[in-house]
Amino acid sequence: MNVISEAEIDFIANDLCSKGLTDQVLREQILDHIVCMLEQEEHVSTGYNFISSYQTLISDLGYKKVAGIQREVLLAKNIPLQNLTRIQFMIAGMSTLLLIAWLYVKKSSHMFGIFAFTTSMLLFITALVPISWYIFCQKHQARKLRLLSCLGCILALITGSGILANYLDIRSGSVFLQSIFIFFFCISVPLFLIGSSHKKVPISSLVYYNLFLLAVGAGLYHVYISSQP
Amino acid sequence: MVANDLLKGTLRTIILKLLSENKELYGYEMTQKVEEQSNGAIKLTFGALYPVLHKLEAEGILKTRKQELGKRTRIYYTLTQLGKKTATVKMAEFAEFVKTMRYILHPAIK
Repeated sequence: MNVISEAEIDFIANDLCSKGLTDQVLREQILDHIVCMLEQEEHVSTGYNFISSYQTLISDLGYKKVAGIQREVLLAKNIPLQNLTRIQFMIAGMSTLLLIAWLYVKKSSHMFGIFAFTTSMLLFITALVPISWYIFCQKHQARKLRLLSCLGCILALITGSGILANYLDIRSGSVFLQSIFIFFFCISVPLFLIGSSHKKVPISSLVYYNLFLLAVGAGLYHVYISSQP
Repeated sequence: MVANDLLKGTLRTIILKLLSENKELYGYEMTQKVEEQSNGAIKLTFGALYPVLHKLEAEGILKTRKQELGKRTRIYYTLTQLGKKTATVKMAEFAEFVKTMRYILHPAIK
């Protein structure tokens, strides 16, 4: 039987983490499983070599597979997460539809004021759902979902504050109105940071979500600017 | 080797059967026992095993116990009272299914 050192166990734990395995219980289980496999491995002629044995063992366990296992486990552990994922997509869809509708109505109808007010209110209400989801995910240690929920908050807040700012006519130069816009935008940043600052969230996820956020933010900004007369 | 699609539908029954024969088992131990009892025909991967274990735990069929082993943690699974009843029912259902399949595959043997 091979003996796996503490440093080697740390190495495996970090590698699993970098592969996106953020669920603590599942990571502990897979870590123990891998260590058991390595301990039992027989090396009659070549002798035991940790790195090569580990690489061989882990070679078919890519990011996609790890994410798949984790998703299945999370769903198995908590069935309501399935519904929450659906809700999140509904919010994203609804926000987009409202934004498009608002842009259309603004150009073609005098009812713009009422409609803009309604949509902005609706978006702020939907922003509350991702926040509650965030709290739920934090409670259940679903860190990847927690990141998604933060993203949901940010999208809803940016979209909502953008619409609200336009409705209140930010171009009038009112410092108060500009402050509201900046305030709502600024709330979204700490929310994202809270969600992404957990030390066990892999860097790759952070980079991915930051890039995605940047792209979405740029897109929304472009829509906002191009809608100005 | 048993095909994955066949294994997928029977994994719950296999786990319940193993745990009804053993007081408590951890993941790796289960894979070893299955491989040993099936003469190497069934090789469980952790990708297939752990989602099912977590699902059974969420359903109240299994309960867990953690044991610290230095830098790693081992999680043992045990059947709950509900799990014991479920295991009996599932094994009976599966035995009946196997019997039916035998009739279908070999109609001459009745």
